[in-house]
Formats: sequence, C-alpha cells, structure tokens
Amino acid sequence: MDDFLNLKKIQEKLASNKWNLYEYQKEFLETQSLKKFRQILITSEIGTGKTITAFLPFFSGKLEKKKRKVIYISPLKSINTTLKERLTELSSFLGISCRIEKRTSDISYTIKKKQLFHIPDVLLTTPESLALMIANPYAKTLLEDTDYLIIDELNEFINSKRGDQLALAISRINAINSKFEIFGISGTTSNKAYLLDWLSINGKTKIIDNKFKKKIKIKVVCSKNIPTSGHSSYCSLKLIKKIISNKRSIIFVNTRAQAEILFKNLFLLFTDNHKIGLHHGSLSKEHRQKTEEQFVNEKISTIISTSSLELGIDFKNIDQVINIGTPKSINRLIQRTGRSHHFFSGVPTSYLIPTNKFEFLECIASKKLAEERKFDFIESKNGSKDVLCQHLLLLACNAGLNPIKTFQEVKKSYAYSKLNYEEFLEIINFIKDGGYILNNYKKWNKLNIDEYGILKINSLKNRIKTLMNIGTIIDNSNLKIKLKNGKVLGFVDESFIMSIKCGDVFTFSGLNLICNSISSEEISVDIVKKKSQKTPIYWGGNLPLNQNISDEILNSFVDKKNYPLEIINFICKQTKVSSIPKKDEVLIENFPYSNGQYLCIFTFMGKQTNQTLSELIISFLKTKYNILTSDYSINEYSIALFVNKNANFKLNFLDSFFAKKKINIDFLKTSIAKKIFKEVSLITGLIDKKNTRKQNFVSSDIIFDTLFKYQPDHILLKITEEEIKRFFSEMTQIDFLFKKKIILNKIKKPSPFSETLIYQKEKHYINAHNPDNLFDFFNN
Amino acid sequence: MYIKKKINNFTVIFNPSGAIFILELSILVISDLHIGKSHSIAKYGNFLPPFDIDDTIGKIKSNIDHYNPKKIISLGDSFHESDTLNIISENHIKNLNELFKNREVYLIDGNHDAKLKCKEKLNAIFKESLILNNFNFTHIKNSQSIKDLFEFSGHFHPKVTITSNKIKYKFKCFILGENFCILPSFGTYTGGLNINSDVLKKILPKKKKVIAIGKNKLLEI
Repeated sequence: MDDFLNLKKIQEKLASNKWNLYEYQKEFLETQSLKKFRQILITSEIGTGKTITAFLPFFSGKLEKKKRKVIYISPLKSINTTLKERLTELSSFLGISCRIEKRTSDISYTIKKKQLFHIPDVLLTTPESLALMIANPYAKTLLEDTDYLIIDELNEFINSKRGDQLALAISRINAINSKFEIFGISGTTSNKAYLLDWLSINGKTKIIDNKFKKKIKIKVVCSKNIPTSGHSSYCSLKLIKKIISNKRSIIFVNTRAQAEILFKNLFLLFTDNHKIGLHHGSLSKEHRQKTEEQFVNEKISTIISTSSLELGIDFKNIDQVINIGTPKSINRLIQRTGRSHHFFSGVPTSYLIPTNKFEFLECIASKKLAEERKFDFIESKNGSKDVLCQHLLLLACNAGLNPIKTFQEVKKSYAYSKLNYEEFLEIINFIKDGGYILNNYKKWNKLNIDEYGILKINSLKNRIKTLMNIGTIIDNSNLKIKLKNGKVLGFVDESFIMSIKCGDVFTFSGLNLICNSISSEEISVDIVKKKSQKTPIYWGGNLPLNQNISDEILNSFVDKKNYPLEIINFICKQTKVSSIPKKDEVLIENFPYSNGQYLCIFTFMGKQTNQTLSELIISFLKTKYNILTSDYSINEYSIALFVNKNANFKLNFLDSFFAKKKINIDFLKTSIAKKIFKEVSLITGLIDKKNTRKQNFVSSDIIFDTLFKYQPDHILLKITEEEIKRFFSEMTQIDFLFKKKIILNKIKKPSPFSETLIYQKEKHYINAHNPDNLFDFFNN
Repeated sequence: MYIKKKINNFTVIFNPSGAIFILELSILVISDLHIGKSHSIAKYGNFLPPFDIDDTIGKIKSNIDHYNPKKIISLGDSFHESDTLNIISENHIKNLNELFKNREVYLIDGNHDAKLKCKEKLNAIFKESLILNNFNFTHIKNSQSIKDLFEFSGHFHPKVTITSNKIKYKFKCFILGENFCILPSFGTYTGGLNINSDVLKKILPKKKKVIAIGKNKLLEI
C-alpha cells in the first residue's frame, strides 16, 4: 500500500510540472509497486521515453526519501551525455537530490575507485565495466546494495557474447543480492518470449508492452549515376548536399572507412558555413565528445556517424536522418529514423540512399518492412562458453570460486541453463593450467586451491593479465594515430601497418595526415594539405543483413515499374544476360574470371543457409569431381565460389548434388573453423588481445592445427565447434532448398547481380587447411 | 614432393617439412626448432597446447626415417630459452637423443640458445658455426659472402605472400641466392617474417629464388 501511495505522489508531482504519464508508464509503475515480479520488460517504439520510464520507480522511492540505488547498463561504448543530463533535469524537477555518475572505460581510475566507497545513487555503466566490478572485492557493497538494475536496448545485444557476459554478471549479483529488481528495456521485436526467458532469473518476467505505433516517414532516393557495385557514396554527394542544406541531420554510414571518406568529400563540397562533424568508435574520446557538444550547441548542423550514435542519443531538433546504404536490419532502420524529431509529436523522417544498384532493391525492401513494422526476429542463443571462461577467471580474481556453488549460480541464468557439470569442470581445468592430457604446465598454474576447495588467482601478475583481457568484442584497432605534439587522434586496425609506409598520406579523423614513422604501437603523423590516397579499413565493419529483408528483395523485382530508370535498366540487363530468380528457383551463374572461374548461386535464403550450402558444395566438388575452390564469399542472398578454370559445369552434375539427401558437416573442418578458433582463443585468454612480447607470438591457426592433431576432444575445440554451429543453418533449411528448381546460366562475364557479389570485400579462403590444394590451383 | 638443385656439385634436396638434405654428404639440415616455446609462453599465463615439442621431434624423425642421414645440422635457435633443457620433460630429451644416436649431430648457436644450460644432456656437438666441403653452416646470414663458400643459415623464419583473386596467402619458404640459402623455421610454434619486410629487403639481393612450403608440396616462385 505504501508503494501505491508513492505512485500517486510521483504522478501528481509530474503532472504539476505539466508532465502526464503515458498509459504504459502508469501500467509499469503500478505493476512494479505490487512487487509481484522481480523482472519487468518494457517494450516500446522509439521516442516514447522508455528509458526514463525505467527510472520512475527510483524517483518515486527517492520522493519518499528512501535509499534507492540503480545500476543502468547500456550496450554503448560511451554512454551518451544526454541521458545523464535528462536524469539530472528530472530529479531537480522533482526536487530530489541525487548523484548520477558514469562508469565506463572513458572514466578515470581515481573516479572509479571513489565510486566504490562513496556509492552514487545512479551508476551508468556498460556490460564490460560491470564485469570488471565482479572481479573487484571493493565493489561488493555497491552490488549488494543495488535496488534496480536497468538494462537498456536489450534486443541489441541479448544474443551476442556481450549479452552472455551481462547474463553472467547478473548471475553473480543474484548470488549476493536478494532484493534487486531488473527492468529490461527493448525496442519491439517479433519474438518477445526469448527476451522474457532471458531476464527471468527470479521467477517469471512481466511484460509491459506499449502498443502505440508512431508514424515514420522513409524515403528511398537514388542518384542518376548510381554505380553497379561497390559501397562508395561518391556519386550521391550532390544529392546528399541538396538534402542536408539548411537542415539539421545525422548521416549514418555502415563502416568507419565510409564515414571518413564521406566526411572528406562533403567537407570539400560546402563552401558556405554549413558545418559538418564526424563521429565513430575509433576516434579519440575528446574528439567524439567535442563533436557531440558542437552538435548540441548547433555549431555544426550535420553529423556523420557509424552506429556509434545510433542508440539512445537524444539530440534535439534533428530534422532528418540519412542512411547511406541500408542499415541491414528493420529495427536498426526504425531506431535510426527515430533519432529525428525525437519527441512524442514529431514525425521521424529518414532517407535511404543506396550506394549501388542492387542495394536500391535492399532499400525498397527495408522501407516496406519498416513501414509494415515487420520487426527483426531475435535468434535465441545459448551462452558462449568462452565468455564463461572469462567470468570464472573474474570470480577467481575476487573472493574465489567454489566449483559446485558457482555451477549452480551460473545455471540460474537462462543463457547458461543447459550447462553440464563435466564440461564446467573441463573449463575450470582449462583456466587453471590448460587442461591438456600432457600435464606439462603444473608449475605455472594460475589458480590456487585452498582447504575448502575454493579456487583463487595466485599472483598479482595473473590478476592484472586477466583484467586486461576482459571483454568480448574482438577489435584489432589498437594502433594509435599520434600527432607530433603527442595528441592522440584515435585508433586504426593493426593490419593498416602492412599497407602504409613513411611518407604516405591518409585520411583519418577528417584530416589529411602524412605518416612520419611507424612502430608496432603507433603511427606518428603530421597534418598536411596534400590529397590523401588511403583510408584505414577496419575489421568487422560489415553488418549482417536480417533474413526478412532478403526474402523481401525477391518481391521487389516484381513491382519495378515505379523505380528510377537506372534501376529498371539494371533489372532488364540482368534479365537479358542471365535471368531473375523466381521464388521457387535457385539461379546459378557461371563465368570465367581472372585465373579461374566463378560459380555464383542465388538462393535468397539467408546467410546461415548460404554458409551451410557453400561448405557442402565445396566439398562435393572436391570429392566427386576434384574441382578445387580457392575462395568464396557469401552474403544473405547469394554465394560466389572461385574455382579452378578447367572445370566444366553442366546442369546435370549439379543436379546430382541437389538430389542428395543425407549430408553431414564436420564443423571443425569447415573453412571458418580457424577464424572462430581465433576469437575463442582471444576471449578465453589462450592468447592475449595485446601481445607485448612479439617473440612469443604463435599464430592461432598453428595452435588450432596442433590441438586438433593431438587432443581433438579438448574443451577449447568443443567450445569452438559450438560457436561454428551458430553460423550454419538447420538441415531442414537445406532440404527446402533442394526442392527448388536449378537454373544454370553460363555467361561470358559477370552479370549485374554477380558483379555486386564478387566485389564484396569479405572473403573466406578454403585452403587455410591444406595449402597443397592452393598450389595445385596456382599450377592449374 | 621434393625439389632437387645442384649446389657446389652436390645434390641438395628441399623437403616440404622445411628441411634440406645434401645427398652425397648425407647431411640433414634444419633450422629454428624453438623447442620449449610453449613452456616459455606458459610462464606468462598463456597455456598453449603443449604438443609442439612432440610435433617438432616427430617431424625430425620422419626426415631421419626417410633419409637416414649420417650428419644432422641444426642452424641455431634449436631451443627457445637458455633454460629449456631444464624445463622440458626428460622424456623429450630422451627422444631427441634417440634420434641423434649413431649420427654426428651439430647444434649451431642461435641468438636464443647461445647460452644454453646443461648442454651435456644432449649427445650433440655445439658449434658457433661450421664449415664442411665448401658449405658454411651458420645461424645468421653473413652480410659479406665468404670466398667459394655456399652458406646455409636460418634466424629470419622467411615467409612469402602469394596473391590470388585479391587474397593474400602466406607460406613459409626457402630463399635461395647465388651463394646462400636461408631456411624456413622448422619448429611447430614458429611464426615468420615476410621476405618483403624492411629487415629482409635490406639483406637480400634482388636476384633470388623462393620456394614456398605447403603441407606435402613445394612451389617454386
């Protein structure tokens, strides 16, 4: 009853300030006050104040002068400044004094230390920073005293390794804190049940679903000279200029390199005082903050950004959002669109500008699905065990871990509910001394066991090393770009060293920089006027396309009459030189290229099916016809295999493949195995993210081969196999594909569709496993 | 698959394992075994699969079984640390000695193992460098060629990049000059240095042959 009175109080108080709560906000407050559920999920569309909603119980308690502590978790690397401001504003509104502080990698060590002893009322943090608190003995009080755990943008990372990391941290808090409640906040998705299960650590989770649908406007515009392939925005510059002139806009691009290039080009195009800013995750913290501030103060009117500004940012007075290329997911498109007119009555508007002709069709499909609110399906995922390795090490860094108790603790989390004890012990043995059949490393054991069976890290050196390696995002961009005066401009991918030499000019942070000296840690530069020739390319810049978009593209071929002339011509040309696949067909194109030939297969069945199919076809061609594939690329709708030029493809021998019924995949022998193993090695701490002793470097490919040869049932390979499986589809999907009709078109050169595919950057090499095949390929 | 070359009127056979066999002299040459590297890394808390020593020894053994050499020469960095012989298991040392039995084994000093402790544990002769029949065996390539001598060396772990369909593939390789040959690293856990890196560019002549190593095949470039 007491809480119910508070509820009235906060409503009155807010109403007296001309702020009436929405129905869903009232429903949430009421449900929460009844204390029947320890977890509540709030789902709502953009621009309806759902983040603030989750803070209402906190404010309500504060009004009663009750002690209330909140930990707020956001998937963003740098939590935006605006949330803190809005919370501060609201608390002064309500006449409450409270301390709101951030705790992220951008915050200094001294402040972080202070927070543990002088605990703020609201702590804004990230999954990584929360994980580090699990290892810190002094953070115990803070975690024990937390009343509310708020998780924002849950749908964005629930089924990723960052989500697993958070799930494990929550399982730890749950073990030491018996009162805390969790409020999950999510955009609308097409499968809420998974989100609810994920949150349910103490009984069932209640959902508060705001069904209100906001109107959004999405326009697809394309320039007359749009190219057939590539992802350059160059041809659309004039179009972009026209759209952004005299308006306030955010331009979203999909990769950091695209952001740099577009910034440079637009900068040159505007001679008047239309100011543009640049924002992406590799720029220095100072640069990012400065850009955000300038945009808020309206000193700049256009900001070019990667996904770094996508979530939760609340800039006022944004007229429109511009997407260069599709955002690849319907939720992301709605999210980005929602950045404009980000208040209740505005109509969010966004433009989709394709960078190539095929992408135009992707844009049309995305627009249609977004307008129909066909939200992304969040694929559910079991907790990754490499992340569990990290978590166990964190526990060992603190008060230590008791295998049996910790096992039960971890299993309470939905993501890890299927864990079995034998495997759990194998993981513990792995972190202790490697857990190999040759018990060689006893003397370098990392963990000590005390008389009660508690495992603890045994040295400061190992503790520091563990904490340094925390995190599940594998990012190679840790090469500093430094000016002569010592100012760090940001970071680029380590591989950039290979493509640059002293005297080269490249673009970074919107500047033309000349390279003075290169070391393994930094590139020392000067700002020059000279034109640049290069832009750093970053690892992992490609966003996966959501399945429903790829389905919709098939439809988009049909109603082409409203498309611009360039696109109609593009589709007509494809029809002329090859054909357009129908829904019950699989189109295969075959043409010579470079020192081999391409086999392009258009399935429109999603990345997982294509991954599975390519793996199967490659081994089929090799074993049955001795046809070698040297590399392949896949995307959501198609596969491109690069095979040796002597092979002569006929419809009937591919038929014999499609007639096949039972097929098994040996996951550890697939072409992506080594790539996945590398990620697992980095996350489990088998190899360090930052290697400081170069002479002790061993490539993860060699480690994989050695382990596979001598101990194929080792836990690391089991973990790797589980992770590989995620990239493959169920066999039923493949069966479905086998029922389709095969169309084989032999052509002289790449068709318009194939061209888009074969110029894709991300390629897989097949022969990483056996270089001899590759030698045969060269000799062919 | 092997590649045969006539050098100083002797038949030199290049083996895809990274070894060289000089036929008429019955000498097996290997380089940069880096035995004990996994232990050295484990010391810092990274527990790599400890099978590298068995694997490296296994590779030496298959070469010995194949060629039955009278002499074995390892061109330095046979052991990763000066302490290695105290750290690795006695079994591994036994296995090595087994291979060395009834053969003349020369272990050339490398930068990693010049100060190797407990050398007496091995039935081998330790040398700074060695000259046999107009062949010079040393760890690091001499900058000036010695008159009439053909030199075998290691140290750099050379690798070559081959580009196909815009993808860069890297392979360990032999580098063959007019009067020298740099061997690839033989040890399982050894990495490599690109032949186009500044370090190697400085010491290599323009005119040279490169033999890339696959699994069981070689490719001459």
